[in-house]
Amino acid sequence: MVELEGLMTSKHVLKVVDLEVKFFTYAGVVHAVSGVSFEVFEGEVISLVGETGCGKTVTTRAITRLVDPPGRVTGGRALYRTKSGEIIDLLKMPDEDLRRIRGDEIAYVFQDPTSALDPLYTIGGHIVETVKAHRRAPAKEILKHAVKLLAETLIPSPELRVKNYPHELSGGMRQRAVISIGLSNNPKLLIADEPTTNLDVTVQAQILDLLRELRSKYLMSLVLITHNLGIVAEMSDRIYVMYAGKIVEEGATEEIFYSPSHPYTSLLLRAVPNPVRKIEKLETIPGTVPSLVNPGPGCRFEPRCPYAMEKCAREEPPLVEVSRGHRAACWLLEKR
Amino acid sequence: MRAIYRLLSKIIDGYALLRDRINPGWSSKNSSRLREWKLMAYAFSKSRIGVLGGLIVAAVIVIAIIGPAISWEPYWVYKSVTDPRLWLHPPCIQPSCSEAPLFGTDEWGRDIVAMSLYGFRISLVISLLVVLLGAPLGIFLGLLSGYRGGLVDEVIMRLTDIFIAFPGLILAIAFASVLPRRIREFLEAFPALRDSLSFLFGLRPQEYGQLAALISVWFAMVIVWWPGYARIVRGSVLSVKELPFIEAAKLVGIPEHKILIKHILPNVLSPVLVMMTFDLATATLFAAALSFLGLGPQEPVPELGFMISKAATYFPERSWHVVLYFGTLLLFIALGWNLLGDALRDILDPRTRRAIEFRGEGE
Amino acid sequence: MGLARFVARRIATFIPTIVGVLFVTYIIAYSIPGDPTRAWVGEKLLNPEALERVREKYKFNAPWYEQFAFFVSQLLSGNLEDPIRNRNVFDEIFERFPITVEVAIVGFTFLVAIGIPLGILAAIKKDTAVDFFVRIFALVGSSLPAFVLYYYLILILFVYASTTQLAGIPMPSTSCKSAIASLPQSYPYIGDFLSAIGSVPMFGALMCGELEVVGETFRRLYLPGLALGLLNGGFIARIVRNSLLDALSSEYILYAKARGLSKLRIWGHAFKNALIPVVTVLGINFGGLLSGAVIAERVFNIPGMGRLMYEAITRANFPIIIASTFLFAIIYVTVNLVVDILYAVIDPRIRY
Repeated sequence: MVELEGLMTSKHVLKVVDLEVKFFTYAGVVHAVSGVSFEVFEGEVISLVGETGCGKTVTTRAITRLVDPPGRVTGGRALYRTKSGEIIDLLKMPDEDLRRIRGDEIAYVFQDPTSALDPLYTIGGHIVETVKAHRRAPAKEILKHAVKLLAETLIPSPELRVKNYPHELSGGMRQRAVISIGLSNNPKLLIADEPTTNLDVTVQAQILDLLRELRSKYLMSLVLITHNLGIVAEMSDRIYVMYAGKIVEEGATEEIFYSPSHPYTSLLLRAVPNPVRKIEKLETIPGTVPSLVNPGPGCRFEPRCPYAMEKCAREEPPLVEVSRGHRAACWLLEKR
Repeated sequence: MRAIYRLLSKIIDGYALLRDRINPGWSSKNSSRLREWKLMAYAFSKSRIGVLGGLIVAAVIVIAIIGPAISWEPYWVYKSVTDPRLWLHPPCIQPSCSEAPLFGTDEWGRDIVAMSLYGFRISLVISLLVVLLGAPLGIFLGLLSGYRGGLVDEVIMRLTDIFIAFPGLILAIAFASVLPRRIREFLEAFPALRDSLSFLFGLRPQEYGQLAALISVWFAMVIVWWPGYARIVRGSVLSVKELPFIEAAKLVGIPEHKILIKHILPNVLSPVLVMMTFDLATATLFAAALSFLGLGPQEPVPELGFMISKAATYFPERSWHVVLYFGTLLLFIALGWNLLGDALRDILDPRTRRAIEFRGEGE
Repeated sequence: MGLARFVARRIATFIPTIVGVLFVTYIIAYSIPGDPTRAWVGEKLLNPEALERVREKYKFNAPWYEQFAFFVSQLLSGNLEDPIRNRNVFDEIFERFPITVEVAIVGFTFLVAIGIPLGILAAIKKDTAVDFFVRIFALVGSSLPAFVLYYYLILILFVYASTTQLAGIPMPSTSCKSAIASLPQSYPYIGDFLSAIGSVPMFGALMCGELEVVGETFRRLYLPGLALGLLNGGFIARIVRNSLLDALSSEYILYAKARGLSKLRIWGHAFKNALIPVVTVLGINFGGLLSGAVIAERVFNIPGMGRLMYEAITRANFPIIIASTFLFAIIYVTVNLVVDILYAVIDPRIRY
């Protein structure tokens, strides 16, 4: 696919261009994701940051067409380079080929492990079927591999736990189990949705260390969805800030933390304990996320933006470059 | 459909006016609840199944109320004794046939349509009596059991387990077969009760023996009916009991019975209401089945199930019209309640209700 | 293993329930109108001394707890006498019991064969004409009185189309019967079990390889079976449909897709989870099947336990009514026990 190869460099693992996801509900058409583009390079960790409802989860699921009706991917491309070097558009692949990608090349760690795990199957059972879906191997071998995986994610007594059912594990162990399942086929890209929320801080640190190790050992790329800026600061190479279904700012972690260029990003950084810069007083961002049923023509953050101008309500700002690799979508930048 | 919505809307408004008379300012305090009811009425008016069910039920109720009064043949006269031609006469369509009623006659030469007018009353009254008395009994015990817990809960639960251990019809058969004599003696001792019950069922006081059979059927059915409600209500109470707002109510000092009635009961009510509607269909068929087996009122009372039972002996050559007619009537009564219950279930579930609302024009 | 402990605990609750059942049966028995002695003795002419002796024997003069104890012992030792036929009530019942089991099994087979595929179809073709049809089918099925449908079907399939017969029950040959009866002697324990199964005519014939008898049995019993399937099939289909759709929209199904599992495996996950409510409903429905046996056996002239109970009602034969009620309850409680254990096998969360 010559034209696709033109867009991807040899270092690209994933390149998403102008992704659009709409939900066709009784209340109207919800524009959940409108023209989102991002890229992931080999062995890097990127974070997708934003408040609840901004579309981060839908975006990552849309890439492998995991969006169920009434939602539908209505536009864009998701270019991916497989382990064997082939470049494909995930959104245009036939279903069976896509199935082979899921769980093997691109793996997910879902946000709520309790609902993600099937209560009637053991942890070992989950891992065995995940592996068997992609390669032939005897169950016994897979179970041994499973025990090793569980041990790697610091689950105590993994030989016993592998035979346990989900309800026999604590919340934290379930979260680690889901991470193990995600890693079972050595994916090239791991998409982790809030992977450490239920874990206490020490375990959290260990899991993050583990993910970093895996990244270098297997050259695995990681897409981290989170609103915990501490983890973002520690783990990510680059950040994408999302608001109301659009990317409002993107760039290297340090850049974003030291010079946020979008009002939303700076407010976000001031609203949580900032690990990079010490702030005296936490501020809130007044208002709530807007309804995405019939978004107006202007900037979606305008209603809550303290710097809103008359132009902002009329026209949507494009992403402009602030510095190398750092872009933001705000009319304030035009002035500069 | 619009007409139905307007009718229901007027009823809701009327109810609000009434409450306002008793407690002034009620309707403004409960405006959101009134709006929710109107939304439910709207959703109901848009449901074809619901409206159909509602119409059937309304028709059944009307026929049941006026039936015994307008029936052109008394059920206690055995016409075929004097006119043998009328014995199990098949449907008689003019002008080729003129000696018998349109739909035919039963064993005793009575017009089966006229008999069914009495039958409607009996079926409706007994199903209502069973559900309207059995359900609250079960609900009360369920509330008590779920809320109190401890020994009370254990005892009530053991009791429900024991009664649920019997297949419903079997238990009802057993009770309905041993009770009639005692109830008959009871009725003999209280003629006022006997007369008012006879009136309720549309029967003459002379048939109090059959009335006793009906009351035994009722009693047996109530015994079978209450455990189901007790279990469901208890389950609901258990899940609601732990919610923070109940704890808050307790901390503020609201007495227990008030908590039960004002806070717990409304949350439990929706599925119970649906169950009661479906149960009205079930109870109708259940009572008919018991009559079919010979446990309900006997001659000359024209109970719907009993009529089919008598006709069975001559089926199919001579009595196919009797079985077909009364069978279809039972089908309709039960269908009406079932359709209503089905629609009610969709309306009371907030998720499906929204879908119905949006599908129509916003009003 | 959690399962074994669960089974043990479940069986332990079986006992108090049986005691409760006994007590309720006792209450019914002693509510029998008139002189209880007469109820047990029937219309036989007995002089007052003989009556008094019977009264003593049955402890009708004693306080209620003694009566209860005696009643229980009589019931459990199977020592009740049918006053009309002068036989041991339990002998009569056990003669008929396997036939009712047969009817219940045929009925249950039709129910499952109609209900489950229809439910799966309705789930796959959600919100289409098929789905709507299943909904209507369920509504009509639960609105039609069983006995009315039976007569309609008889009219169509027996009177007009002679596809069945309405008398007797096909039985395995006498040599087969004696072979099965002698099983307990040759093989201890398992012989008793096999003999019990073999007493059901259909299974007995199967065990001896007399397949024509099995075929005849289906031809004889398919009418009530079909009727049961039509009446309750729609309801079961809706339960299957709803629980399947619930399972399919769960997060774990999406997660299974995200892991790249094949469609077959994903359906497997959905099915296993959807099975639980379906098993519950089937268990409850079985009680309805037993009750329905009384009506079905009357209409179709089947010489089973239900028919015995019906005849007992018409003749006010209380010992039979009491004993049948008791036995039906025992069967139902046992079936529920089996259903609960099945649950625990399917769903590991239940084992605690």
